Amino acid sequence: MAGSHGKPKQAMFKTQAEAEAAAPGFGCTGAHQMGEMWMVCDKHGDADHQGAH
Amino acid sequence: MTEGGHCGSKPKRIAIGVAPLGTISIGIVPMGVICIGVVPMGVVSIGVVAMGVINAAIVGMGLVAVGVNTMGVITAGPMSMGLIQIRSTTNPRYLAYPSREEAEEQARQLGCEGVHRMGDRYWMPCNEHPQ
Repeated sequence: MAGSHGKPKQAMFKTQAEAEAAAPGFGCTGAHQMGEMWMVCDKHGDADHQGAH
Repeated sequence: MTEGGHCGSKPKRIAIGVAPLGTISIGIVPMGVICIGVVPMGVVSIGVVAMGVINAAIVGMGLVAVGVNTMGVITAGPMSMGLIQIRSTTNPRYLAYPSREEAEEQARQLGCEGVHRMGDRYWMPCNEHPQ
C-alpha cells in the first residue's frame, strides 16, 4: 500500500506520544527527540548522499 | 454510568468517562484522536492527535496547550508558569516524502544537500536536521 507517490507526511511533532503514534505510518516504531520537538522512529535514518549535488 | 476513557491508553474510537482521581476524558483515541479530559492534578486536554491533530490541554500545575499538529501544525499554549508558546511545525524540513526524488527536490528548494531516510518508506530533505 505504500506507494512511491503520495503526500508528504509530517515527521516532527510537539509531543513524544504524537510522534510514536505516527511512527507506524513511516514503517518504524518509537520516537526520538530533536531539540524541543519529537520525530517519528527510534532513530534517525542515515543520510543518503546519492543524488546530492 | 461511566467508562474509563483515558487519553491514548485504549484503542477505543470514542470514550467518555470519569476515571480514578477525578479524571474525566472524552476521546477518540489512537489514529484520529479527540480527547477531552480532566486528569489528575487538574489536567484538561482536548485533542485530535496523530494524523490530523488538534490538541488542547490544561495539564498539571496549570499548563495549557492548544495545538493543531500534523500537516499544518500550530501549537499555542500557556505552559507551566504562564509561558506562552506558539510553534509551527509546518516547516518543509519537517515533512517526509514518499519518494527520494521529492525529498531531493525539496532539499534544492530549501538550499540544502542530500536526503535521508525516515522509517522504511519515507525520505526527508537535507543530509541532516535543523535543530
